[in-house]
Amino acid sequence: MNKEEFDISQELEQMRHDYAVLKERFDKQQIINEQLMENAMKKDVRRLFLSKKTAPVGVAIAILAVILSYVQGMAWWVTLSLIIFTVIFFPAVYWVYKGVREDEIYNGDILSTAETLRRFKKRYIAMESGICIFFFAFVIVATIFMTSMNISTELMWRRGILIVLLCLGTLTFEYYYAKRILNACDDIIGRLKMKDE
Amino acid sequence: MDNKEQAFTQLVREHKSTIYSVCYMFSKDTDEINDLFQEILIRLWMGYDSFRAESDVRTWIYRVALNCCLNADKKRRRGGESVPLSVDIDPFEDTDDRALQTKRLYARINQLGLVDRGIILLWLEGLSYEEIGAIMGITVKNVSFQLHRIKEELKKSKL
Repeated sequence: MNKEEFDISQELEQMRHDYAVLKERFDKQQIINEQLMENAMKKDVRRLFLSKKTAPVGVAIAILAVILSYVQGMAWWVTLSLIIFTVIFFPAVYWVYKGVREDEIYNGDILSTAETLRRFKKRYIAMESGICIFFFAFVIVATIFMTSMNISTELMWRRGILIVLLCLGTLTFEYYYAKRILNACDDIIGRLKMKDE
Repeated sequence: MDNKEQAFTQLVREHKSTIYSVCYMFSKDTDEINDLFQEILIRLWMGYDSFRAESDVRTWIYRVALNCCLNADKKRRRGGESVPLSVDIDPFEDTDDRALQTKRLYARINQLGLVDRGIILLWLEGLSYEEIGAIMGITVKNVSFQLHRIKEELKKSKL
């Protein structure tokens, strides 16, 4: 063993010793208390993902909206848009959340958790982009039809521009946030797969 | 408290210093330790049912704890106030001899990236390469490679 190797193994031994001291210090502490445990076990955690109860309610509302638009005699393109949205959106939600269970997401190994989160976030962004494109197309279609019906378009244009701006704002924010998550996941995956590839 | 809650509380009590140590190594101050500790408890409780089918509790606790610590960095902080932990020491502020040893270790480990920090922590805990591999999701050969690389990094940072 040369001097350099001897130094690093001494350093590692020192680290192991320091770690034992640290564990001993923390062992003597109470750390957990009744309130803490109660909070962890009873608190309603902020949901990261859609709950199983939310999806059927969403489907019911969408179907009801389609029926109402038809019964109320709304323009055919409004009803058609609602149908298209319902038919495309709900399978997309299923695709995004497939294989992702919130109660198990952090139970897997580090590599598989990073891969799951990365896949989820990519799909989520794709779905959100799709929704924004849908609304964008809806605003254009609505404007064309309203104009052809000689309805005053000034207010509608304002609303349309507002919707498009909101869509773009949401997308920009989501892309920025997702980029951080994706970069972090890529870093974890890259590090851990360094040898295997 | 029902039986399940009692068993879970006992489990956390037995591994509190392990969880606290992991939180400490991934935090910048005691508030962050508090937040992380509570996030880990919530995640452990949420996954408690699925864990009970597994065998090694220590491996499971490390998986959840490290996942929380690695993910805490890339997501928004959890809303709401944290419940204060029952701790008499402040690993960031105390200045006695043992605290200095702790700080020295913290400084060395914090030079490393997040993933490397996790691997070296598992090594310091005395886990086998098989256990480290199971927690990180990599092969034993890869664990050996990663540890060698981390040791090299520690050596470089020492120079």
